[in-house]
Amino acid sequence: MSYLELENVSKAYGASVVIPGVDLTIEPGEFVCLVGPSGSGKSTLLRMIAGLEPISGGTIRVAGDDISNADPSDRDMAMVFQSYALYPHMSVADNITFALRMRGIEPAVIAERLAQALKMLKLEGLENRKPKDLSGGQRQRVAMGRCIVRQPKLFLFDEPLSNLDAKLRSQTRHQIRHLHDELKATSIFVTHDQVEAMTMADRIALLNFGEIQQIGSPEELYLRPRNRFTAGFLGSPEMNFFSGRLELGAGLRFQGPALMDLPASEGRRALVAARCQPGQAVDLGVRPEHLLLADAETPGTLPLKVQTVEWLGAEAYAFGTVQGQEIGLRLPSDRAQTVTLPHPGEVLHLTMQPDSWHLFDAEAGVNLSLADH
Amino acid sequence: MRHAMKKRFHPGNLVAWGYALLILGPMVWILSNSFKRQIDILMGTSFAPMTLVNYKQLLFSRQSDFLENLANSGIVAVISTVIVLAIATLAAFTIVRLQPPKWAVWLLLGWALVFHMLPTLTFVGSWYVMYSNAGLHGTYTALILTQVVHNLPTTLFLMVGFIMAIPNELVQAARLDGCSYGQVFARIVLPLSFGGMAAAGALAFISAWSDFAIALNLSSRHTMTAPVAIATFAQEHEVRYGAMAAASVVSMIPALVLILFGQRYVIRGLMAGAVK
Repeated sequence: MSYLELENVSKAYGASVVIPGVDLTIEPGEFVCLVGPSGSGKSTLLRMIAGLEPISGGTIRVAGDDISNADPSDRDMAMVFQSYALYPHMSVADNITFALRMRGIEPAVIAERLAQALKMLKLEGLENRKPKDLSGGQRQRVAMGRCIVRQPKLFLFDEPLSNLDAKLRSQTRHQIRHLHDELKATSIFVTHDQVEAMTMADRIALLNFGEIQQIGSPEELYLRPRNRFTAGFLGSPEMNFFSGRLELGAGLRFQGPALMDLPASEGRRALVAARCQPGQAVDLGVRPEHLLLADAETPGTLPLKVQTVEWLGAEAYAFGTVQGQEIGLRLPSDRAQTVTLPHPGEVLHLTMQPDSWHLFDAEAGVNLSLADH
Repeated sequence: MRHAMKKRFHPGNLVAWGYALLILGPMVWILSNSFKRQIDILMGTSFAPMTLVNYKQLLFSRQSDFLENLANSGIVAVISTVIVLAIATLAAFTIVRLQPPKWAVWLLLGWALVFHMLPTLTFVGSWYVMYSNAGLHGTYTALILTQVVHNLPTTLFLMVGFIMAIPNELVQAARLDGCSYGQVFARIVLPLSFGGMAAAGALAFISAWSDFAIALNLSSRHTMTAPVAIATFAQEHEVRYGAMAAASVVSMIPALVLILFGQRYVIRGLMAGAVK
């Protein structure tokens, strides 16, 4: 097990800077997901760690050794590619053992590790097949096997699930996490899919424009986003945002599409009061599951005219538009788990769960309702 | 039914048949001439009694060196093809995957293209002088080296295409698996480009086998290749049409055999990259 340290690692193609400088430490045995929209530099960062892309500045250390300029063949890292990159002219067994044979490991050891990997990945009986005779899921497992047998310092995954169908993807997700728990290998997993990141990662590093927006556990990023980007990126349907001004009085109120009450505990109110000016321009963010239905139209609620209703079986969402922006809320279910669905055109009156809303600085996007900033 | 009718009268078929006729016509004519007596050929008789005399004279007569000429063609074509393939495959891998400076690639491929566009005869004079000065005129070395130079541009272009069709991720995976670039070439790229090499090799072989201009000027009596020998059948006082036809048919056979056996690879190789 190894740990990885990135110190001010940067990448530029000529004048265009893709990654201005990333600091990141990954602990031994940790599973870290690099998440971000396309073009955020997450794949580039992974390829720089692997040595497939030269770095423009900074230091990469594995277990304390500086490998910033080491050849990829000397880095002892294993990678699962998006396309799996199985060698088409080799059988499953040859694919899995290729790296071991290249390193001149004893045939007996190779055979043992191959048997282990085949068993672990349920690939027994397929060892003589060529990749073209395998299904997508089997190919994915062979690619995993290729990494496992090497017992490398670091596992790298470059969106390895994006070529699988939805059902297989969730199965494989569990499998990868299960394998990780068994092997305790330090892993970096690149994905643009927040569900993959939320379900598999010990920690998520969220990237945008080559900068880490926030790094922390999935709960931390979801419940305590440091900025508007993080808040908007994680969660599906995504967080609702309203632009407006903050009113600091006896209670917290938000003058947006309507005058809305911000139900808050004493601590939260004090925190916001300390960090914000009265009348300050802010963005209010509330997740769909933190919006509540008020029984009647009262001052401080937000009217929402329902346009569409999505019933997903276990849960249901209603969507409507307020001042040109789509707002979604999760509809409450009763004790029997049944949901009373509103009709399109119906007007719902919304309030918020106490302390579950966020206030973001209108310009910098910083979360003003968090203490640790 | 309508579909079948439509298919039958497709104008594209007409073009294809016309094209086939254009190629097959002369071949059938040569084939029929090779089985005719000289007098029937000169009289323009369409249906003449069949004779094997042309073939007997060509292959078994003491005055004929044609088997030797065929062997010369074989030596030159096989060895030059092997050398061309080795150089072109290594060069293509270097160009495509080792990221040499862009200007170097442009210079090399640009030169290859220009060289390929100029008629071979432009260079033959210079080659003649060069080999004569080096004492290599009329040797296999001269013929083979010249065929290598002549066929390298096309083969290089083809091999660049084939190697580009091998996903870069395979190269990267092999690098992470501990391969040096040399090992990547030997273990991954080479086995995966056999199809492309078969295609490019077949074309290089046929080009060297059927070359006339180079061999005419650089070969001697001992190293004379089949196409040059065929030309010698047309002499000042007599054109030996029958012998020429028979020699043409015989010299066509290796290329035909190669195409028949290698067709699968050639077609697959030439289509690789074009169609996913």
